[in-house]
Amino acid sequence: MNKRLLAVTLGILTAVGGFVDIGDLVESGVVGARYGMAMVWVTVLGVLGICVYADMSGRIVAVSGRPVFDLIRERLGPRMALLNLAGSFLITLLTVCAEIGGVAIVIELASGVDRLVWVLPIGVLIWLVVWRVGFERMETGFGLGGLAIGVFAVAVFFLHPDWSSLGAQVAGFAPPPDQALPTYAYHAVALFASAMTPYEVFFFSSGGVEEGWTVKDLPVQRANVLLGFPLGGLLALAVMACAATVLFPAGIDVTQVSQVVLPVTLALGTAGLVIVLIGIFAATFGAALETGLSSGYMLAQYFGWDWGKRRAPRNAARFHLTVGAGLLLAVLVVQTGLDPVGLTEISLIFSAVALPLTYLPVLIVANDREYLGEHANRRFSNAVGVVMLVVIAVAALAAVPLLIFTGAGQ
Amino acid sequence: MNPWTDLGLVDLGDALLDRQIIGEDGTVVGKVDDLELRAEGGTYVVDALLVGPEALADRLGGPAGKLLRRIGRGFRARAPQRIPLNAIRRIEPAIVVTTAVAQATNSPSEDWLRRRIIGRIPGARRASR
Repeated sequence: MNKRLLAVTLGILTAVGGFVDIGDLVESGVVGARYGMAMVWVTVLGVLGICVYADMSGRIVAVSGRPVFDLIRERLGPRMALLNLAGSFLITLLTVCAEIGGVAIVIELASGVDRLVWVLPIGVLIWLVVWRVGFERMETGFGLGGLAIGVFAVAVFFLHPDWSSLGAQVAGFAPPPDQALPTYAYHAVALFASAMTPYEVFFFSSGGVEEGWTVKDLPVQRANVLLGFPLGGLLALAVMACAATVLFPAGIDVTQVSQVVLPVTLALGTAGLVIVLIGIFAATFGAALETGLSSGYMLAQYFGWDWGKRRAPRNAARFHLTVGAGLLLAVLVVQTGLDPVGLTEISLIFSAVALPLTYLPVLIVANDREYLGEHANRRFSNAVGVVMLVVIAVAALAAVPLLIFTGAGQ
Repeated sequence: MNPWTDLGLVDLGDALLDRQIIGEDGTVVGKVDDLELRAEGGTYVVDALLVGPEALADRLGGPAGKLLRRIGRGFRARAPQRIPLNAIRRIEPAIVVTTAVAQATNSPSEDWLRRRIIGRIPGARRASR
């Protein structure tokens, strides 16, 4: 019993630490600095969405033993599924770039040596972990490391914020009077996409296969999602609150990752800085692994190749080639010196465009009784799922027009 | 062994096409990329499942199909692999075929990559732990 409790706790903590990646960090910081806590509702909405859909994909895997993308081609046919694959694959590669950029900037902040020096070594290190380290060990290690981001929550208290004004901002919803509505909407879309990043569903369901979930694992998996992801969302809100306390009143816009970290240093000194850098390193490195693997998962599951870390690489040659080539491409893109914050925002906006591609098939398959039998969606999951899909569709349609109209949120 | 003998109408697109094929021993074979039909007395009989980029390319059509066919040719896969219908053991919902057939149905691109690239990297024989 105790062992089981430990396993559940470990799973939840891993989900908490694994929730935050470069997208959540940057966009929560940007939004907190610009609008205070006025966008808490967006994060809450995004967390609700990812919980409902992660639960669905978890059920699909546990019952059918097949990951989500595997079933998309069967349900949508090869052409629609190929379109879906192309979109999701490009977005995921873009996210790999953003995560690698994040790892590089953390090492720059820690070492003082320019981030472009670190890009290639980081790429090699990620590949080595993909090649050598087992799935569960990888997930637990980086998930627990990511918990160090919780230092943002500690920092909020040490900053002695004016709680009533933060509360008023949360309840205010609307942008401050001096801020334009389109820019507010642009950042709302990006923040929403940061919580619902598409790769999470592919990774989550493929991970279920790697770990060999069955129907017996459903309660544990559900606890991981329904407790882990909301707690992870709280970490993102802590990042936002730090920015809202320090940067928002001073009128500072976040253009660099170092500004997101600044409030922690102010509150907790060098010790805080060390912990937060460890946390961000673990979170972004872990996310780089997850996105890198996801690119391979998608392609392998569309074409029916053997895949996964539970196989010896020579028995999943095409999968490993895809992951390796994707990482190499991402390293080359980051090496050109693109600004990490800008790269993250672009990856979030295009993720928003691709969101319906990811989530509609999940909803369709989760209603398929041939695969799920009695575990098919009930009325509640479908109601929340459909409402979220409407929100997702609005965000997807608005994303590119807002990007152009606001000049990327300026 | 034909799993549909006691059934009425079967929608081939739904029941067979694009499903994952695995062997009884867990060998991953591929997807049902197309079906081979044989004309017999004014009707058509499904003879085999076809696996391979050429078979999928025909169904995709357009530039994507062309690209896929070119990639398949690059690995010298001339014709798609055939899996005779009587090799099917059960459908669950992946299509499970006999171990012998599953192991005989190899992919030229996977073999080539294994021999020339992935298999040559140290540690390729060991699953990650």
